[in-house]
Amino acid sequence: MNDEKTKETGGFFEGIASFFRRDLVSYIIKRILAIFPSLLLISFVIFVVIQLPPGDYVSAYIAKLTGQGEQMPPEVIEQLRADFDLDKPFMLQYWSWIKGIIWTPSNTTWYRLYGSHHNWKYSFSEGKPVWTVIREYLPLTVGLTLAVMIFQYLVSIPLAVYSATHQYSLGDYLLSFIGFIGAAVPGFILAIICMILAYKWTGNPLVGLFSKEMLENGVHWGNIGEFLKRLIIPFIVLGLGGTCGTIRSIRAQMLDEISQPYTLTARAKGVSETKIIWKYCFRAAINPTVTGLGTSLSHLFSGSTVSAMVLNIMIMGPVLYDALLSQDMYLAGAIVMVQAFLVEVGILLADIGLAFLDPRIRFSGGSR
Amino acid sequence: MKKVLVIVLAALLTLGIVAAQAVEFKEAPMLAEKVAAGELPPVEERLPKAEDVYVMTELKNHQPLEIGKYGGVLTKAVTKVGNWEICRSSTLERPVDFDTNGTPFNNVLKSLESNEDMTEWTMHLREGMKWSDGEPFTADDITFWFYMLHKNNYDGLAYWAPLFQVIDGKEVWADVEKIDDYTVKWTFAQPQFRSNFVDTGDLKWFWAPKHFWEDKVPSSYYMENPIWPDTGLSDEEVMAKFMEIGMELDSVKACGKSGYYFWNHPQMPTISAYITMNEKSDPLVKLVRNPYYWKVDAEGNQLPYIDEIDFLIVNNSDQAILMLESNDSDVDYIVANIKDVIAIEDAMGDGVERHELTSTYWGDGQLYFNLTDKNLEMRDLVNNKNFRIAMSVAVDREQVVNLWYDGLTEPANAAPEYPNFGYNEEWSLRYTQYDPEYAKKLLTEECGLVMGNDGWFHFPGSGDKVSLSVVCSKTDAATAEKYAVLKQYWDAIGIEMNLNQADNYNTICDSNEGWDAAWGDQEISGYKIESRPKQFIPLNLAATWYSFYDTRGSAYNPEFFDLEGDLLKLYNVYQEWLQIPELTDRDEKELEMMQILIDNTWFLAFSTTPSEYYMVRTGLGNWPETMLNEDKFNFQMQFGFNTIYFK
Amino acid sequence: MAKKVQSNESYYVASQWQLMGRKLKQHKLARISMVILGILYFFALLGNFIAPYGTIEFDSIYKDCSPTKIHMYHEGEKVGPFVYKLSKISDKKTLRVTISEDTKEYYPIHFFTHGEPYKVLGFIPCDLHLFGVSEGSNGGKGARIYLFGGDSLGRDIFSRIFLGSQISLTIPFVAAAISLFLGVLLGAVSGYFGGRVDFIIQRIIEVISAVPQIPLWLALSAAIPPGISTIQIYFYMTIILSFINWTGMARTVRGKFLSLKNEDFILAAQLSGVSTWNIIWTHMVPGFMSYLIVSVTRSIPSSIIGETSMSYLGLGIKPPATSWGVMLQETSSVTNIVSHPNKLIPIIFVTVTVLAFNFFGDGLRDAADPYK
Repeated sequence: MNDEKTKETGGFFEGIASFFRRDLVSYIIKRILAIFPSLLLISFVIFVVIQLPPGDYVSAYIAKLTGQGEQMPPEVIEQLRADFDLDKPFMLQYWSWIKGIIWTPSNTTWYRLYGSHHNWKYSFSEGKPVWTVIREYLPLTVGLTLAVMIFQYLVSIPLAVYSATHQYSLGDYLLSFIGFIGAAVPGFILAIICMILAYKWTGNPLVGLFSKEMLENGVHWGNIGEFLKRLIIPFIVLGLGGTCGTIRSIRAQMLDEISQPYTLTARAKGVSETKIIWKYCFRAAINPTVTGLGTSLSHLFSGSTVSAMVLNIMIMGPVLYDALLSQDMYLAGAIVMVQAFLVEVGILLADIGLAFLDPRIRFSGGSR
Repeated sequence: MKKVLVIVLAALLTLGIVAAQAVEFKEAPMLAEKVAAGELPPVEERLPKAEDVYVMTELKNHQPLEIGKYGGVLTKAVTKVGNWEICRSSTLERPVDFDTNGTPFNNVLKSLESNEDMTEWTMHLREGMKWSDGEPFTADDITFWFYMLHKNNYDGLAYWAPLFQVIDGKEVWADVEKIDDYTVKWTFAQPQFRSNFVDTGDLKWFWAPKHFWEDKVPSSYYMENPIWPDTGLSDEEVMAKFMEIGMELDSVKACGKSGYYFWNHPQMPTISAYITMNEKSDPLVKLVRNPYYWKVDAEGNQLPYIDEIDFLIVNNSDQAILMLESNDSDVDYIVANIKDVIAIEDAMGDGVERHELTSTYWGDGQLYFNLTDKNLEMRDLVNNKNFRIAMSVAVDREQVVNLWYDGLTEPANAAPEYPNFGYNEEWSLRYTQYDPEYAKKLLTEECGLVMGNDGWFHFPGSGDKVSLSVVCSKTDAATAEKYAVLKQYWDAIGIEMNLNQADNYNTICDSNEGWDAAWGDQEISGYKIESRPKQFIPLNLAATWYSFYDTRGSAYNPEFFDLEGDLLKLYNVYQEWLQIPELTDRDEKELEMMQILIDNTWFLAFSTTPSEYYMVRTGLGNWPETMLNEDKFNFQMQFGFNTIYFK
Repeated sequence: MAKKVQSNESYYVASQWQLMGRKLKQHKLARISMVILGILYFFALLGNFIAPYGTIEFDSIYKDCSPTKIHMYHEGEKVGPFVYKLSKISDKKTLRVTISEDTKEYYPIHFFTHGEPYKVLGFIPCDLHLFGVSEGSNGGKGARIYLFGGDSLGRDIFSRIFLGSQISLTIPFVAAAISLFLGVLLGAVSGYFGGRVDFIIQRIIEVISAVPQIPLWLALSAAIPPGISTIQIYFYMTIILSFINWTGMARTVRGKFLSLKNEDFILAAQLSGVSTWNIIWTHMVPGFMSYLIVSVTRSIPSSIIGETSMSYLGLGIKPPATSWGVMLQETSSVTNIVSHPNKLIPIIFVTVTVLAFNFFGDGLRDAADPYK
């Protein structure tokens, strides 16, 4: 009796705390466990997709060598194929790969050399273990993506709220226009235009995130200014596309919320306009946006590839692209799985965030 | 007194370039610091013995070497594509090197001589020469490499053909033995001409650091040999050893192969002017001066002059150009193609210099037909010389040259280009006139094709449309556009030539299925035939004659095609060419081979090949005036990292 | 007073679509966008007529040329609109190429000229073009009127934009139509039947959304067999693009179905024995048709960008056909753009089209909103 009463009349924070104590841990565990079957399915799909184009890594590699003037006798090529296990039937290759990832027993070379029970195999083109390659690019990818996402939301939210509260004004149109430009111009074109402008205005095209000096000595206080300068173009190029969609969606939701009867009531009661907008309308409006976090994350990963190539930024997108072109299967498969995993984790975090925002979800046990 | 006499005698006996004059050696300031700090031995101990030091007085084109200043960092912006071998090309030291006329001179080898019948070759190394980690470079390094890395195929790629001979259809390897620490002797079963041995462009090195490899050769690869015992190591132990030094490789095979790519691994000692500091896949690849480099200039300064070479990897050539032009960047030079040169010069004015890297290709946009096509009608057609002539005259080369290169190149057919060996204006312009009517006439009268109602030619026998699948390994759109320019002319005379851009084009060619012609690949190029002999006999694309050095014929491949007619003649002349001992005496036979190739028009080309240009910031000295873009001269790296200096 | 009553009455009796139409007219940007889109599609339809040249007319003198200047006065006299022919000098030593106008002879611009033949709607042969230049004042030949300049192979950018629009503007439509069909079908099935069917379809959608697009594009387009006709490549590309886009629509439809499924009127229909398919198609789908239309309109821009990106990467349309994406490949060279900024013009077209679709979709969304 008492417990029920507490649940209903308890304060905001007590409610959240109790929710988290009870359900959150089991919820997270359930969600993470649910990711793995999806990953399995994804790994199969991507393996099939990679093998679709004719040829394989060896044929792409030999074509490259031939372009350099080297010649190789066919038996050497066949040997190369056998080395990479590419002459085995498709299902066998897939099975041996996925089996190795799930569990590599202790009596194998891999375990003895690396001490790990999960064999992600090697990248053909780099000659290094797949995880070594991914580890090189992962920090920058995650860091940059997160930073761009935060930037996107920091920019879109105020703009969208302004747009919604001043509907059909000049400001609304102007902001919509700028936001749309970002989505209308393909990323790589925007990147090139930005580089040209940077070059014309400052004499330095700001190619890449790191100048030569930064590549040698890392980013430190001495060159942090240069680093920030180099962040401008990537943020604009990578962020602008998503900004548009977010602005429009938040604006649309806000418009719906603002016209609800309860705002009229609140105004009649004397609640300040700011409080109405931010504490009530915004919290309700943000719901679908937070739900869309996962998709937006996934789009960021794939949409950034061509732009990153143009801007010379070393994130996983271009690495994946090169791996796909040369049919470097294990590397491509691993990268896709990592990205899918990150997207799922993003969705999970979004759902937890949603639970924070929307008490209805807390009480009903989750949005999924 | 006696010492001076010895020195003078040794100087007189040395082949090749000038003997040591100054005994006093100087070194770069950055190294002098380390010597003072006790980290490096003094320069006299790092260099080989005074009389064995290599003294450089001129560049490869016989331009005199200016005495340079020490210091500086040279930076190049380079695209990932096509520069995957930057570290090799920039640092390879061959046993015997070549000047721009193709004449050999001793490089790593101090001297070599053979016995009367050329079955035994004795090589003398430079005494006191050391690897980049200070260990001596001795005869052991050669014998170890031969028996423990190469002959047993541990280094995995292919056999260096100059090191074995084919006798009665079987491969017979040479033997190598150590005479003393700085002398080795190679013994061949049959006479081996110098021009097929060290003077070919193909024998790039035959040594490896024994002190590095002696614990990294597994038992599984051991082959019996008179010198080196089995290491007794298992595959896994070898892989673990590689992991210890930071190289994580997927199999013991890959471990062995890494030796072939030694220039990419900072862990492996080297004898080149620069040491690689990091992996080729890093965005910034640094090469740092090798303190044990064994060459000096005429005043005794230890080469190289420049402290460090950096390669900044960018994604496309545009970025490289922008970085060169911008003032903030550190980039010192790039390689640009013909269309960008003017734009760069306009942007940088006096700040940039242009140096030309002339091409050795036999024409641009080379087209080659599948002479062993499985479709017999097609095979007859493409083997008919008149068909090839028709396809050649159907194209308006003036337009092509204008469209491809803005008129900056000349119309040409496949032939040696100026100023390369064998250049002949008549050859270059043969069958380049634009005459589609004549082409149609040839196709109807000489090839027996029938013009159909659909505007295309048909085979008389089967009635099929004459439609060729032209395979090309480059899959980008620029290539497709380039080809589209040619296609319109062939469409106009009624022969369909469809471009098939496939990057598995090697598989297609090997299997001899699905290709009737190849475009832009398998082209004839090379300063002289000895650079790339395989391309001069145009059957190398067919299943049979894949590796030119061996004569495995019908026993090896069931689809053996007999050579006949002019191809057989060409092959025979090549065999005769191989039998001439001195490289310089072979020119006449080479011209004979070229004549056969030109007469038969097996290859078509449409324009002279545009040169590439180094766009260099002013202020670099010792840049060679003439450079040929060729493997023998290390492609783009031939300007000589070890002699460039900042003025 | 009577008039006002009348207009109010017409408001009350107007159907759902008429209401939407009226609200749409109020949205200014949507109106402008409709007009712009109308113009663009009209031009695409008449593309062959408007464009003075075809897609594969190479001309080495006009390679990389800037937009042709139209003059009125030749040697002091007014002779009507005309152009001069270009002449090019290539210095092989300095590698400099200079292009200049040859002012000795002028070439008048004619309207409704005969030019490169083409087929209207694919089968009616015709060779009439809106404008062009033919002979010069002294009988010379070979001048061209390149209003937007020439590309790197000397082809007319103006012509290629209009001819390319035929592909770039229609692929998204077809792709959107296929996406719509797939999305509604699978979403409806998933939402209505629920249970295991729903679970399977949802997992499939999840997998497809999680796989990044670039690999899908690459692999699917690398699987397109080479050497096939443009029509076939077009077909394959629409399939690929729609395949990627249908998931969003399916998810939306499913959501709507889930909420509508429990409405009373559906229960009533079920009780009165209406067949399942009838329920879905006659009763449920019209309920959110407006929402679907909006979704479709908003998926078209992403298809345009998708096709553009694919062609830019070289995975889609190949010569001799052209699309805006193919033309953008040339713009990716920085030095090219700095010397020839006219090559950026296709971007303007892409941007305007995408913007127009977005605004139009927004207007539709606002119009379909019942709460306003």
